[in-house]
Amino acid sequence: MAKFILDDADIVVNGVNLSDHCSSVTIDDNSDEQDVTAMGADNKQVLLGVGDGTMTAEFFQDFAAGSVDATLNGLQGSNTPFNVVVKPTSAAVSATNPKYTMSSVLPNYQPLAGAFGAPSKVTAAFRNTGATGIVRATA
Amino acid sequence: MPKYKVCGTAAVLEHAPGKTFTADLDSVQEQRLLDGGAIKRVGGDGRPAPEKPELSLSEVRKLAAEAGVPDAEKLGSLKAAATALRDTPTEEAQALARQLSDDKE
Repeated sequence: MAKFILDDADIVVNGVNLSDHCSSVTIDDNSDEQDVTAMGADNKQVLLGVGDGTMTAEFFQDFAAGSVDATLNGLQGSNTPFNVVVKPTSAAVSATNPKYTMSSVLPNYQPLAGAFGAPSKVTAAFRNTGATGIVRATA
Repeated sequence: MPKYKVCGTAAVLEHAPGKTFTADLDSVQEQRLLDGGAIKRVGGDGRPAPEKPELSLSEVRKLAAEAGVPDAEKLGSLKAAATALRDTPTEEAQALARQLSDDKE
């Protein structure tokens, strides 16, 4: 896969494909940095600690059955995890179109937020709750 | 395995809107999808499953007998009936067991 324009990302939340309402998506896979620099060192030494993951998506709000609100509303505030799956494009999973899966919870959900005359959008920050964090698969 | 129809405009579990599919969903995901209106349960012909009124013990006994449950007329409670139905390996018995389970919820 060459350089590409992000215009066909695929996002599935709890089995529901919300891609056609999604305007942006970010996958943030990270680990805590722990400073273990000791006396006598000339340079800082950093070790990676506990991993973490967040998938953030911005959606155009839609209150229709089975759409954005109906999907997200039932997930917010529950400790029972659900999967969020993101791909760069809607094509099948492959080495050039990897799939990122995260067992998630949704701590916050603002069903309505916006200004006069602007499209109603919601931002959902899905937080990792699985032991494996964000899992990348190519098949 | 239960059969569902995708109701909204979004694909669900890689099934396009309007399509029916069978899946063995975990109960939490199933309930979330049903509550959100993304899917609905359908009968074997793809049409909406009929409303299931709560059954009385006498009705359950009668249906259990038809479903092949031995000594169905002696069942003492709905709980006992549900257990007996789950232990009876006919499609009718399993369907009735699921219905009883749904009614309890």
